[in-house]
Amino acid sequence: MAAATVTPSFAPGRYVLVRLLSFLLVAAIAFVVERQVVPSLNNYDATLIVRSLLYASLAVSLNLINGITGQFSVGHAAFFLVGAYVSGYVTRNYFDSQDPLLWITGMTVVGGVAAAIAGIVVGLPSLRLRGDYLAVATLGFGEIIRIIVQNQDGKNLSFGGLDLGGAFGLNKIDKLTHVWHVVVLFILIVALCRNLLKTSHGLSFLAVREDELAAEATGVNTTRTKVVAFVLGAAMAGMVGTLFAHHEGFITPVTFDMSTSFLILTMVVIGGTGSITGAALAGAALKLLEEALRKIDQIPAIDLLGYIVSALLVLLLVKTLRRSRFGENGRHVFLSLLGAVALAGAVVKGLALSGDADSGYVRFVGWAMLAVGSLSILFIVVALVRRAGATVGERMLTGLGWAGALIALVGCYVHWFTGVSVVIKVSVIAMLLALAAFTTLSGHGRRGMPAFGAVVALFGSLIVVKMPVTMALHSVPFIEENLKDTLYSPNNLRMAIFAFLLVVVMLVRPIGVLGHHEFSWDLVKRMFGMKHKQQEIAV
Amino acid sequence: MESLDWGQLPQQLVNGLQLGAIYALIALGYTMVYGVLKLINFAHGDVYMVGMYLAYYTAMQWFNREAMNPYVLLFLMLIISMVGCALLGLLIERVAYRPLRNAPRISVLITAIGVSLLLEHGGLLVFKTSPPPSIAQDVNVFSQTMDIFGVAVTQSRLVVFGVTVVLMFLLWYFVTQTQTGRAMRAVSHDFNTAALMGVNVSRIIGITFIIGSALAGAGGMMNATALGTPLTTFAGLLPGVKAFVAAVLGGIGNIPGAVVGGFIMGIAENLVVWGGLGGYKDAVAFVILIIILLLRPGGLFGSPVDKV
Amino acid sequence: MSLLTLDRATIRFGGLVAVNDVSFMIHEGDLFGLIGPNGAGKTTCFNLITGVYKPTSGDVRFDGRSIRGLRPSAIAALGIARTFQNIRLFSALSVLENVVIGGFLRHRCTLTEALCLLPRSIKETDDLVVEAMKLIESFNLTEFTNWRSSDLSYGDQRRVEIARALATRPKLLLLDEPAAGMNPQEKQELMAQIRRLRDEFGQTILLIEHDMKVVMGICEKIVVLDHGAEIAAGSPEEIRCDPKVIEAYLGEPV
Repeated sequence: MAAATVTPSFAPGRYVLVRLLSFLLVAAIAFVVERQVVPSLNNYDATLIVRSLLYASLAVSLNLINGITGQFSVGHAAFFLVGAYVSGYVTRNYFDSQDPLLWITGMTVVGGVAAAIAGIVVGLPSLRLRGDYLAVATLGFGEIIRIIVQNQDGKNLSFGGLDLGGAFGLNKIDKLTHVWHVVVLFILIVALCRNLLKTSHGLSFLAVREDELAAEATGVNTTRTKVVAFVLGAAMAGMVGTLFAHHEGFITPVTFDMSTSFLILTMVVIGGTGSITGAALAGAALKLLEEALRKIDQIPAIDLLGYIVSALLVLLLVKTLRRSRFGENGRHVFLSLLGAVALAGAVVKGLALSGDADSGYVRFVGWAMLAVGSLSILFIVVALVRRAGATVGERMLTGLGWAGALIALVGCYVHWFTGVSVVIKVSVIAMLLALAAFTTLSGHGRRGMPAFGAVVALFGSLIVVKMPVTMALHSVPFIEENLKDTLYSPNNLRMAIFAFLLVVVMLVRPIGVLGHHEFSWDLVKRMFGMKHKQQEIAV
Repeated sequence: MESLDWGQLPQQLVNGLQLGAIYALIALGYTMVYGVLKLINFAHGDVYMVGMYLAYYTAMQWFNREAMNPYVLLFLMLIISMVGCALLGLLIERVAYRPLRNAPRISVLITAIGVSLLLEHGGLLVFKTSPPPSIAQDVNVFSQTMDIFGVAVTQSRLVVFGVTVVLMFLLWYFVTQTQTGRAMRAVSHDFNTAALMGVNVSRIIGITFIIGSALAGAGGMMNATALGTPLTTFAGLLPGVKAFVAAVLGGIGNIPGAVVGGFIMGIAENLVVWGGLGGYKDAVAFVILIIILLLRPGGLFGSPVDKV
Repeated sequence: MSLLTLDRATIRFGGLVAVNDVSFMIHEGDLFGLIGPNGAGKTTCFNLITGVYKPTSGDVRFDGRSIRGLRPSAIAALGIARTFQNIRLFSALSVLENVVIGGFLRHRCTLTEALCLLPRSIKETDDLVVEAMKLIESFNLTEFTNWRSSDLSYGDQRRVEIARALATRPKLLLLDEPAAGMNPQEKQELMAQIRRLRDEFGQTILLIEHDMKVVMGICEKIVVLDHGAEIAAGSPEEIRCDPKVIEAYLGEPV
């Protein structure tokens, strides 16, 4: 128990040991990545790892400003740009036959320092502002920096004839970035933020976020703290920019425009404002999602419309049901029934597929769907009988929740045989497994099962409702005529999908998915019921 | 840098007024919404974009039909844009902002950014991905040029200017002379007290969104017909931000201030082009914004607001 | 020598004179009361001392030097800590974290040390935590150590705020209506605690209070403000009999 007596955690011997071990661990990870993982991947997979880690680092660095210090900055891409351009320019013009490792390390420092200077220039004036005004000011600064760079084409609008390639960008930057550089930088950035939060310094940052006036009165120089956070975040973004430039080989100003800033912001906000873990996870996940969407087949317009309409219908139905005389329970029952229909549908579809002898893979998927569907229905029946205390609806949802966890597991297995990049496969599976573990094993999870079941049921109902809706849409002449042959490529819609996610997260859980929570071994232990904290039972 | 062509200056000023009129229309929406909700409605510029598309599709539907008088068509385009945008504005308010009425302001701001991105990128679903040509040449019946004191002014620019002034007058009349307008000012002055005094705050907020979005729709229609900006779903992003700067410049929440700010922005932009710095055309808005935020965050006509 | 001196301090907001020509002195070890009806300028007076506002004219001297125009954090570092009338805790942080931040201005390690988690930064944070635990214990808040501070009851939040202020080890503690919103029993306990702070640790305290009984009960010196101006000063007995005070504030003798 943490209360009453606090034993100081500092002990010299243990400290040295822990430090040493963590350095060794980082070195080992870097070694394994470079020698074992990368050789077994193709170029594209390696690029995926690099990009997702770079964006995760960017999200973590913005989180330091937005989440931990609470200064809402929307121009983060500018610092990313400064780091990339400064180091890229230097490499392009001066790199020759120096030691690449030494050079890239030096460039990372150069990019970081350049971005830090930009951070001071932007931060000193704008941090006098607050809230939405600060947001707009940083947005403005970000765009100014990008427009200035865009005009440096060695012609008359350049400053002193500086040639950064104008709108066409800087090309032929030597590709010096290795995957392990990115891994180390990511670990470094996360470690810096984590370390900060372990000390009283970090608390002073949080204090500025919580209440500036009270922080001042307690002796925290808020202006200094804000500028420091801003400059630190900018420097980190600059370092990321360096590795980005030396990985891609060529950079254009468009890569760093407002939508990039918004993308990084989306990662932080969705991950949970103030949570390093959340920012890192959301950063990597969203970047991978973005890359995955590039590869997904085009979707017929009417199908997409069908999904949108049926999603709206389901939400509307759920809302009306909650308000109607059936109440909460009626809603649960309704949702569960639709979910169960979807499961039954899966069984039928599975039967059809498993009879299809053409392809072993299809047959396998069919059998899997059959098995999962039937087992899930069994789950629901068991849950219906067993959980005596709960209402019928809750019991059904619990069953669906278990079914969902099972589907996630089998989904992982089936997913492994799809054609996408191994990096995306691994991350999807990791996420699904984490979700399944969380919902099935943890103390939170057992209580959260009906909620998880509700999510599964919502998806299930979406699938059920979508079928008649699409048929109905096909029968409307106007839609059929205009959209019959239209296909949408998910690649063009990726930002729309992120924007949608952002709005939904804001409406459902404004604090972000992880909120202020951080990953820690304590949390894991608590989750699995190994350690009970009395204080957790807050009223 | 080449020397300045002073003969061009009046022409550029007129162009600036013209562009400024459109910025002013958009800025009014920003200012009104900020007034009642204290929210920077980032999606406002995208509502303006939708207005451009609505005007375009209306024109495509009825243009070239002999029976249709072009003036009627133009009026129809204006009305459809305004009504369509008003509905869109109301929808955005209901779906995205209303559930967050009591949430921290930053959450609402993030939602606004999300809605903006959703309209820009989701718009690709509804509107043509490849930018259709502008409709300026096709529909414009006011294409003759008039010579006023040596400045070439196309008739369409005069019409745009005239319509803008009329709309602004209507808005002024509405806000100052009607009961609803008075309620709106009460809400923008003090949200809670107005509610206690029996003002239906939700209704007023809805009306504010309707009016603001309708004005943006009108701006979009006029931009599409008279200026002929190429249509893309991102066409609203920069004008939106610039109009926001105009609103800040005039003192956010201040209706005449937004109009003046809009004109200043339009003229400043054209002056930068005239000065041979065309590449920095879009940066000028942000420079103005930052200067104004740092020196006088209340805007030119606002009271110097306490930043705390 | 006095610890805090207000020398004809005046502050104007536009046409309104919120604090008008107020002078008083607080000596080390005093338990000083500042009272007055609503809107008399008491909290503005606090804001003026702690640097939230800069006096339009006049001077504030603390510990022998003028603190006029310093930023609040600098004044806090010199040794003035305060609580707020409407509690301002760092609401998402735990009680422990709140109190640890109070000790922040005594930290010695640099930001670089913190970022690299060098030994000194851990040790210092550890020390601050131990100290904070002692304070928390002395306020009987031990069971809430790891609670989110906003989950506490109103009275407990007030006590956390005082603990946070004390964690800065102030030479002068300013309490803005510490008993507001407490029930009579809590009030009594709090007052006993405040008095103990003074008696046992020699803490100098300046107190704004609404509840006349409380002020009269524990303060030795009292200044009465009305409409921004000082209308009386002296011991509780003197204040009790002062006709101006009675007229402005009490209505009837207490």
